[in-house]
Amino acid sequence: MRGVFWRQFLHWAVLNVPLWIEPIVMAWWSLFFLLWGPVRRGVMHNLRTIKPGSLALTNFFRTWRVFWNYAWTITDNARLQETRVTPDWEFIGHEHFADLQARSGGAIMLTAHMGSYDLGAQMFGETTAQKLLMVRAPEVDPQTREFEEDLHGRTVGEAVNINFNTRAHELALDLLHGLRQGQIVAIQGDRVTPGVASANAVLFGKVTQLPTGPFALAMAAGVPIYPIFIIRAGRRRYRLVTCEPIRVDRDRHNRDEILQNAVTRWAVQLERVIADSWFQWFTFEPVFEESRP
Amino acid sequence: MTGIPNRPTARSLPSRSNLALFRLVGYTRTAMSRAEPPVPGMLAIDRGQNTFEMFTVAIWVLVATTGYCAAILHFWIPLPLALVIAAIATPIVLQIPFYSVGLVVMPLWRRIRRRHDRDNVPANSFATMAAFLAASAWFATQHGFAKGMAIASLVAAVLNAAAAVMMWLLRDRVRDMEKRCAEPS
Repeated sequence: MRGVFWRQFLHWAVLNVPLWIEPIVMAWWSLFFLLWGPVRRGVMHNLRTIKPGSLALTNFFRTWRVFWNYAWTITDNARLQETRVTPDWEFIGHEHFADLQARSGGAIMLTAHMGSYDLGAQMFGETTAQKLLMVRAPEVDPQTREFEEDLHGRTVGEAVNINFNTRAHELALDLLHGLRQGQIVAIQGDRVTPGVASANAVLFGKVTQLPTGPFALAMAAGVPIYPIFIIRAGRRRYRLVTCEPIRVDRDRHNRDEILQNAVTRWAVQLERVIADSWFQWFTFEPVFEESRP
Repeated sequence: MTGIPNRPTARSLPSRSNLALFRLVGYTRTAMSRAEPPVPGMLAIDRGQNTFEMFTVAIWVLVATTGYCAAILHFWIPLPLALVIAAIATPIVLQIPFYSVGLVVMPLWRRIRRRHDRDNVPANSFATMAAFLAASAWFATQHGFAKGMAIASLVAAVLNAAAAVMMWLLRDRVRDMEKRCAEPS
């Protein structure tokens, strides 16, 4: 379901739905979107690998849970954009997050399609003086892209700069420059889009592809990668999980081996977090190629 | 102020609840708890933060409205069938007031008043709750299984009004308590 209508409808709903009816509306619309076949099948396909041996009916209800969490997450994000109301925040691995905030040099925040990327950026912007460069995949639909870019232009503070990943080469140079200036770059590293360099990694016993761009960037800039996950911990409550940083050494001779090693370490952390919070992994396309029927 | 340090005791602050009844409970809980140092994180100050309140009210309104819909359908069809149809239809029925107010009434009202704000939540909240209480008042006068739920809904509304008076009397203490919780350490 692409098109700007659904984005506009969500923003309208945030400005119209009484808060004490919201749980009913969320439950109803989550159920309604279960009718959306390709996405439902995509989530159920991924759940078959994450939860091996599950019944299809069980995964059907799990898919509803994914949609329920997604509905709350995008609503919280829209609420922030429309009314500046933030959720509650708690931290896991705060020592690593504090370390990231205290850094004078640049760093990469590597995250996944979990929780809300924008809410996390807003929270980061409020708690640190460092500038954040966010990389986002561009919207396919031109009207939706225009809507999103306009919204970000109006609502995201100066501490956060959003780059839509439309020109990969130029973007890489911009990010490298930003890192060398001591800025923080936030990238999502759980999905490979066409034209993006990738490496094999094992997730839940299946070989899959993960992007190598963040690791190559860390290697070129000589900065650490902090795996960060934004988990929805309840209604209007989020948990920021910061893992031990991944350091990517610079070595021309063993470049591929070092990158592969870094991707493997990232895959281990990603798998652990997805296993614990599968209901918040908002990846609606089948990612485990081998298990495709 | 939109965020304060994450103190366990501050989770129940009255300014994080909407209805006076829940604000009063929040005040009592915070007043009775020991002061604790903040842990890493941030608590948002907004009337809609109380999850328990929002789910309690949502479930109550859903159950009561399902009962009201079933009671009306029961005039024409057997009760079990009426309950099934009501359970399916009620989540849609409950959405009608805010679509009507948000799409028709408020845009017209703004055109007349030449206002440009967009937040319809208070107006929709008032309209939906007013419709619910009006339905409760009507069902409270009728015979049948919905009467008990209707009376309970009206009693809850009266208790909330009483709690609003108490919160008004406690307003200075509440302000002091919230100021203390907002201090960094």
